[in-house]
Amino acid sequence: MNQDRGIARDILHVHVPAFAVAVARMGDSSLRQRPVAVALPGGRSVLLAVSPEARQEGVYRGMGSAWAQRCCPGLRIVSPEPEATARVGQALADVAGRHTPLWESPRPGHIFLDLNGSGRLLGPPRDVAARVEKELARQLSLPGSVGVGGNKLVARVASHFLVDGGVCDVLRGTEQGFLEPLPLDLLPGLGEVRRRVLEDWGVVHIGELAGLPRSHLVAVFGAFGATLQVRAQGEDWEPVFPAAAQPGVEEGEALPRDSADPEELVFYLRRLTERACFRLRAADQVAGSVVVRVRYADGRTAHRTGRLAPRTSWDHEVLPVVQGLFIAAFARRVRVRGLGVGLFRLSGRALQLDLFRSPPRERRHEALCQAVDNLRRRYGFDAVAWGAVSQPRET
Amino acid sequence: MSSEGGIPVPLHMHSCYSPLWGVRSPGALVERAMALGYDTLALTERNGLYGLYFFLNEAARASIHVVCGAEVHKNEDRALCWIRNAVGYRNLCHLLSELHCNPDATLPQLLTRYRDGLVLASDVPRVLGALARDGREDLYVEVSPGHAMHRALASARARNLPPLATVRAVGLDAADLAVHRVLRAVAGKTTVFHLGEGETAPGGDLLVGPSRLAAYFPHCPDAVANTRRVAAVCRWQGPGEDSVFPAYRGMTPEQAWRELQCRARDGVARRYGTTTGSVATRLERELTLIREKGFASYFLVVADIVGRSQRTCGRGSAAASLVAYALGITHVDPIRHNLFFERFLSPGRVDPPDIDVDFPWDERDRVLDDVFRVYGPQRVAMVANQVGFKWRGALREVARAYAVPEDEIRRIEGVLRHTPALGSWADSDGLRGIQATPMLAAPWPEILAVATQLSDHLRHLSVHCGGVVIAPSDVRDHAPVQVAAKGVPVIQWEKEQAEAAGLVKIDLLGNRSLAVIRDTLAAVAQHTGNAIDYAAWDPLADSATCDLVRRGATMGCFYVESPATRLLLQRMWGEQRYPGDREKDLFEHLVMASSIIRPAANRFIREFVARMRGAPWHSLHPLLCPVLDETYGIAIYQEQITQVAMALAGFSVDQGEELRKVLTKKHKARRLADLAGDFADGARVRGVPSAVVDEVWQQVLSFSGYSFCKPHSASYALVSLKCAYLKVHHPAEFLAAVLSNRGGYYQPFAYVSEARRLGLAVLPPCVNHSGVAYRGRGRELRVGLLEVRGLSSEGARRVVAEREAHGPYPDLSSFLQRTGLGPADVRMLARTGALDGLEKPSSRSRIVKMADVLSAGKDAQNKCMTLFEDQAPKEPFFAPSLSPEHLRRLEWETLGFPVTFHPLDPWREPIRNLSRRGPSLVAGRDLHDHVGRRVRTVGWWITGKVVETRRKEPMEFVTFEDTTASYETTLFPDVYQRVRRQLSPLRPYLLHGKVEAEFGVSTLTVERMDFLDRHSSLP
Repeated sequence: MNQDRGIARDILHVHVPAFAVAVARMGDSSLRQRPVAVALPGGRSVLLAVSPEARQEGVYRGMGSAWAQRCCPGLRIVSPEPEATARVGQALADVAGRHTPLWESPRPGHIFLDLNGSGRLLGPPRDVAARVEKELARQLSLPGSVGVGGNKLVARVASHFLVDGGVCDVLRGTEQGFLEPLPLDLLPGLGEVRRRVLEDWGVVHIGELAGLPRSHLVAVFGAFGATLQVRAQGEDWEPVFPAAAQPGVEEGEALPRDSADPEELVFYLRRLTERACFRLRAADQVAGSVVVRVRYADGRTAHRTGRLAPRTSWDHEVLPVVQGLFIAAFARRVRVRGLGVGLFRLSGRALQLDLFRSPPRERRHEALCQAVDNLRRRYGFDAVAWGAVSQPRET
Repeated sequence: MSSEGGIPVPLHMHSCYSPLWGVRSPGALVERAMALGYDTLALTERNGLYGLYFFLNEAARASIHVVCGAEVHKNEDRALCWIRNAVGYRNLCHLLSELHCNPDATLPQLLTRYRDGLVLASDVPRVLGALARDGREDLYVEVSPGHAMHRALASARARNLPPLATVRAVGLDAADLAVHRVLRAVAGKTTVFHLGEGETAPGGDLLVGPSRLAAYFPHCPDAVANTRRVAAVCRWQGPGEDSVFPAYRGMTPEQAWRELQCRARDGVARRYGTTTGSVATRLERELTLIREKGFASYFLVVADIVGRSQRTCGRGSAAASLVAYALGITHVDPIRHNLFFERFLSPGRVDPPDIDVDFPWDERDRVLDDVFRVYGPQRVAMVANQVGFKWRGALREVARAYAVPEDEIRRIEGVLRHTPALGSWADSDGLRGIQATPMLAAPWPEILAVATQLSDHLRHLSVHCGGVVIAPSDVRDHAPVQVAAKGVPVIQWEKEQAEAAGLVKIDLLGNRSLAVIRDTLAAVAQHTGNAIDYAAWDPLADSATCDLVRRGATMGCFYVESPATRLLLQRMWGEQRYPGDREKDLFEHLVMASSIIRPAANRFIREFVARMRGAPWHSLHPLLCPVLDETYGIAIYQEQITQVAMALAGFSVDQGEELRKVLTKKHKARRLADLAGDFADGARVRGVPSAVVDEVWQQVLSFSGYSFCKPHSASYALVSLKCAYLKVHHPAEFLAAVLSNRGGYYQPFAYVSEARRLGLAVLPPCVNHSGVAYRGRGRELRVGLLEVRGLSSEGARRVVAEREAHGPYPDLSSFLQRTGLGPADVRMLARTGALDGLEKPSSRSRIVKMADVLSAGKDAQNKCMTLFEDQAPKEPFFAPSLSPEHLRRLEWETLGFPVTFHPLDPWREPIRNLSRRGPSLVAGRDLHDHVGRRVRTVGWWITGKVVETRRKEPMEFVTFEDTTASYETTLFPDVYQRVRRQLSPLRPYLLHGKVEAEFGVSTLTVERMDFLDRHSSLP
């Protein structure tokens, strides 16, 4: 990270437009080359991502889905697929990771690569950009564009500037000239509301924004007005933040059929908890917090987080907490499609045991757990199950 | 009644009028109780008497003895109350009222205070203890299987109180319990899976036969025997026949009648000048009847309420009454227009009369307040609406209770929309047919089965829009009162049961057109100085007004402005002249036109117009001549049903009235079948051929749903004509009032277009010229600040008040200074163009920028005191000018519709290009020159009405307009099916279709529809 003014930096911005749509198209070819949008089900939900074809029809992100459907009868609205999106996002990150250890993905479909000082290893940034684009297209069949610039802002504008993919390299020192004729909506952080205010002042291009009296901008937009102007002039000193790692164990499952029956749901929840605890014990770790995730049949999700005190990895200590969290999380009147249990705030298992805890009965429980673990390690997880965990009846 | 030890009595029963608790209708309960062999049945709703009179009716029909009461509960306390006598009824009403209205009262307190005349039972120790301390008479311990019976019995023995056996029935069989669970889930906004144990009735709470009931209590037979004892003392079988109404100013009935007579005679003299023989006879007949029935006070009270407002319109059947006309309650001459008095009052009619009065919508709340103030809050309450489940609501709620996600609900609704058997919910074959639809996976068949049973269920009360009841001393002597969400006291019954309870309802309703007339007259008086004398005003005498009505140019005129009515008027008097058209009485025909437009009468409308325009016709039967000749042999008015039945089938007035009333009701099948039989029999006796009977009966059936009586339509026609008069002579003032009062049939945009077509200049809002409301004067219509979206009403008011107090605003900074508006308000005003005149040069972008910057600067100054006086930016304001398209968009966005241009104006050039190729492109104004030809038109959507064909397929009548005229189109089912999702008020359309004409009026039958912007783009 180099924050000094004088030194030119090399930043790449990889952009997959309408990422959620691109992901949906990977799984369903009938969605290609037609207006598609991603939104949670329900007439009052808003569009989360809009394909370029849909945008041409006047559909935009943030539009009400019922209204969008009315305005564009040919629009296909699909539900978001969080698992697939995460998977493809990870693949994208893997591509970035092959070129630099310093990359940042602020949201799915966007990755900044910091190539500072790697010129001799990787070649000119423009070549790297071309390689990245090729890898996206070949390995992931994702449409993407790559911008190259002296800072994150310019790289990002450059990648958005390209409509149909490709590489756009902005020469260092020509940033302002590059930005001037571009329309306002390419300026990051401006936002729909501010853009419309500026347009009503007759300001249409980034260059005009750069030339406005700063006092006018500050009066209307506050301190952010000044920031905007600096950006419009092509300056940005934000570093590329590396992804923070948060270790934890997560287990998730899509139910064989949607259900709202608490008994049935608790069955799956038990199994997930057991699996997560099993993995935790295998790693010789204990967890300090637990999260229960509920994914409803309509695609909405809810989660509740709770503390485990003292830290533990035993099923019989985690389960009651998980059940309590589940009751709090399952508050909507909608059937559940998937469940997840995660254990976080990990630390190594304390070797010294509490003097006053673990009465004999508990110790027996722990010993049993360990025995089951051994069996499972040898014969697979499903080789043995608790008697209380019976498969829910089929109706 | 049989002796003790006879058949036990089920004393604890809930019907579907126990809100979200009971399952079956009172009728079903009575029927099952009879079948099981009971001779007495009780009804105890939860915390109310919501279905009392429906139950009494059903019981009377089945001649089963009844015990009436309620189950009261609050927090953990609960008890049962049964009414012994009239005192008990009064006390129960008070008890329930207080339970609902007084959050501090505890149940034991209320029960001890109001226990006179009631038999009480409970199984809650706290309640029993308090009641036993107060007195042990008529007090029982409720013992029910499944409800800790042993504890209740022990409690009875310990306190030495008699036990009483009940089953706490919520339904009749096991399936009802599933419905009950769903109802509880709906009540708790949860799912049937989440329901806890205490939230629903346990499995055994069903009505069982007498022997089974006795078998539940082998260990305490006296509990069963006691049910008979309770039934024996509860003799109250409903209230008396008398109407409940306050005496007018404390007068005796005779005094009130004398007063009424005196005032009516004065009124007649004032209305008619000299009293002719027919008027005097009619007046005496009415007065005699009113005296017999004791309704004098009622008339006087209504006249009093009406007298408090300058402009009212008595509507409904009351307009047939000469007395009401004389008292100034109604304004249509019942003699001149031949209005049928028996529709309002008749000797055999048991229910009280019903006078409905309209007030200007913004004065109605004040009138209601006045009524509460004058008669005292204790004596007045509003009538309730009992809100239940419509089929779609039922389906949704049940599905939610089964945790079905919203999008699946919508999808299934879509599937069901195309199921033909939807109308027959209650029909079990129909239901099975739907359940077998392949798209309906589990749990949908179950959901449907439950949803079909949720038609009559009471969900909650809302306030009837204008019904008020007034009682002599306290409404709570006659009905339980609770507080509605709006904060007003409301009785637990809707109008039917309120009537059955003897309460006399006065409907005080809001009417926007009365306010329109009021505002127009005020503006005209202000602008021209000549005030129209409202009382002496006869718009019929004005030929221009009559001409406007005949042309159907009545957009904006109350009651006759819908496209259907306007088309009908045009057809009745269209351009093609027929001999004698002019002589036809305009008022009579206007009344007919506004009455014949009702749901089931479509096929009679064409016949009506044909006959009016000279097609030969003959009466179906000579007996019908006196009744139907007035309306060309076609039944148009509600009361003609009564008259037809009287003339053709020899019904009495009251039988005829019953037939009329039954037709408007929801659950009419059974009674209607009886009446159809009577009708056919009666007609046969009089020698009427059966073909004629069938034909007439078809006409009678066309009155199902809603229909109008002539007095009502005549009252409204008078208001319509006044509107028409104002529209002809003061179009700017009139349309300004229509737009300002809102609530017309059309969107504001349609009225603005109408103004433009009338040659008015429509001016955009301006802080130096606009009022809050629209202003019309001469040939100008100025848009009011109320139309500026996002402008706070307080901000709009301040702009106008400050200008009126201290003169116009010279420049922007003085405007900001003087009004002190916040940035949000200023932003909207600037973008609308309302600030355009304040600065030079006045380009919109510069004004907007200045307004944004200066108001934001001021706002910041107001928020924090600064050392320096003026921190406003000093840099000059330069701004590039905006494109014409941008300016148009700003106007559209800030006002919701374009004002200074027509939305098709920007398309002039593309339209011209389009007309050079393809079939002829016709302007809306010229459609009638192309009758029978296929043409194309350009159109902007104005309004549409979806109807169903006889084959239950949806189709739509759509009104479009272009820059020359608005025109009507028809989208038949095949076309409608294709294009319905594309219809919106946001894009221009290119319509392909055939011009068709009927009675000289042309409409376009659309065959194909495209977006205009698909064909060509804006330059």
